[in-house]
Amino acid sequence: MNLPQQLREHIINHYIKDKAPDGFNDDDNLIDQGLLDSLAIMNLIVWLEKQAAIEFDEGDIVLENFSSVKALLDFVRRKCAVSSDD
Amino acid sequence: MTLNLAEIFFQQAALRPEHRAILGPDEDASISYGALREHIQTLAAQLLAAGLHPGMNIGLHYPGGQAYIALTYALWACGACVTPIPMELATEEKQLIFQHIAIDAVISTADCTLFAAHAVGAAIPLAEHACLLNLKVLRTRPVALARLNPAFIRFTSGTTGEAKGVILSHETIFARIQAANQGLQIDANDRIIWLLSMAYHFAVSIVAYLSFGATIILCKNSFGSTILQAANRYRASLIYAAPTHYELMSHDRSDQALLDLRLAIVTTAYLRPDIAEAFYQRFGIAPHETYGIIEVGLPAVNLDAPKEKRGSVGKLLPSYSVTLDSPDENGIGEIMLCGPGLLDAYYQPWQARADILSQHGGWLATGDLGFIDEDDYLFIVGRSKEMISVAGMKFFIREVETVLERHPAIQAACVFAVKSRRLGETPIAHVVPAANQEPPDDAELKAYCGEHLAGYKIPDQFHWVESLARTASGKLIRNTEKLLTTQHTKIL
Repeated sequence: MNLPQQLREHIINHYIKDKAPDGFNDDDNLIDQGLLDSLAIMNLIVWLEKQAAIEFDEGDIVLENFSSVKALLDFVRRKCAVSSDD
Repeated sequence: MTLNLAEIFFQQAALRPEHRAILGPDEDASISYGALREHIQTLAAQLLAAGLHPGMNIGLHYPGGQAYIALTYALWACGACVTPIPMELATEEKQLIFQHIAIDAVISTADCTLFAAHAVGAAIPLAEHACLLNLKVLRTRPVALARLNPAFIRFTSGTTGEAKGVILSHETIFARIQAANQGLQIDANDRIIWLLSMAYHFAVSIVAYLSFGATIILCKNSFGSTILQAANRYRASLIYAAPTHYELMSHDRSDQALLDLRLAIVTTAYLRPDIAEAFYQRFGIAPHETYGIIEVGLPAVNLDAPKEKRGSVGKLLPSYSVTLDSPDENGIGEIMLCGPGLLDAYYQPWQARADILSQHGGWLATGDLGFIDEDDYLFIVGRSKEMISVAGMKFFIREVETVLERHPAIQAACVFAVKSRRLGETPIAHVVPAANQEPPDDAELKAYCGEHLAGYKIPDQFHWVESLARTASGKLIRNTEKLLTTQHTKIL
């Protein structure tokens, strides 16, 4: 399973399952719906750093990058692309 | 007459019924002391009607927030004790709590399937989308427990893989918050930003705020911009947060200031100097580092010299005393404390406070290493206990090794900490393959660990070695520098 798939599965299993309304999709806002609260965000950052080896730069941990499953996947793809260019 | 923390809150509610107890997390959401008291009493009546009675120990498996606070106080109002079951633990870790601590029932989110195997009868619905599930008690209750008037049992896994629980009575928690408030000076004028896990932080924080008439501000999330918006919207006077929260606030790109803030309390982990400096440069306030441990409470806060003595947790608060056991040539020794509100007992094996303290001449051995400078400021430099702290979430190394050694392809494991810029520390494992077994790859091992351990405990890397590094006397070497340079032993 590649990283975006792993991340999507992790988010759904840990933060969305049982809480999301019916018909939830990747564009839906995780913050407004209260699916990622302050503790969940910290746990997700730990997971991304430890399990996905994502290195956060100053300014990466902002609402725009965590607002939806799609935004998170886009962020991870950007980070992976940058690190493979290095 | 025994003390009950719910009664302390009810007295505050009687004094100031219209005063806000909680603000947020949604805009315009708030509840007054009077309304929260009514809500707690309604919940308590529901619980009593469902069969709850004084002396019971109830597991609380519920997300942090206003409902968590109300449920905890309702349980105390019923005379029950609360054992938090952190939501983020792996299923196996949650079940371990029930195997080691006698828990009569659990209050959980609506989905109780996790506890179904030990359920007695059907789940009883409560307010707050919670349910109460009576359980078959899996172990014997220590006979001395009831005499302690327990409020909390905080489960911790032990250094040897043996579990233990820290018992805090109502009287102990009350003594702790009184001692802490000699320094913090919290009162009804305070509005306190809350960002941490309520399953781990409640006694000398939430209880203190509500016992002294302060207002708790719940944030919708922990992004820097959100914390600052909440702080400004509600004119926060105090922030109680982890280093990462201060880092995120420091890097916020807006021009928001913290005009009403009088204390920026740092807890859970060591604050990197660059974060402390960035926060100071951005807001003109030096964060106050603290020393908080479950067995003691909050014995030290760097209140008077957070900038001049950066890196120190301050002088001991007036009620506490400190000494260092066996200091080395640099003056570094194990921190030993005494003062009010020390733990009442360890649950397993049962050890009452007097027995724990008698082992060290009346002092509580913290397991932390530190030194005291010429001005009496305490600095913490490490731990003598074999623990790792990932983003402030602490765990014993041995529990990870135990899980690894249960894997059929692993004969032995040694887990140790390496420094991480953002997380503070992170675990790495040396693993010895079992005979005639194909070693799994990292992804497979991480997935295996994920089935048994919370995510933050899973090692970042696994190094396959012929044998574990040991001292001449056979003790495992956990010195990170030595282990990372023992390249010759790697076999894969």
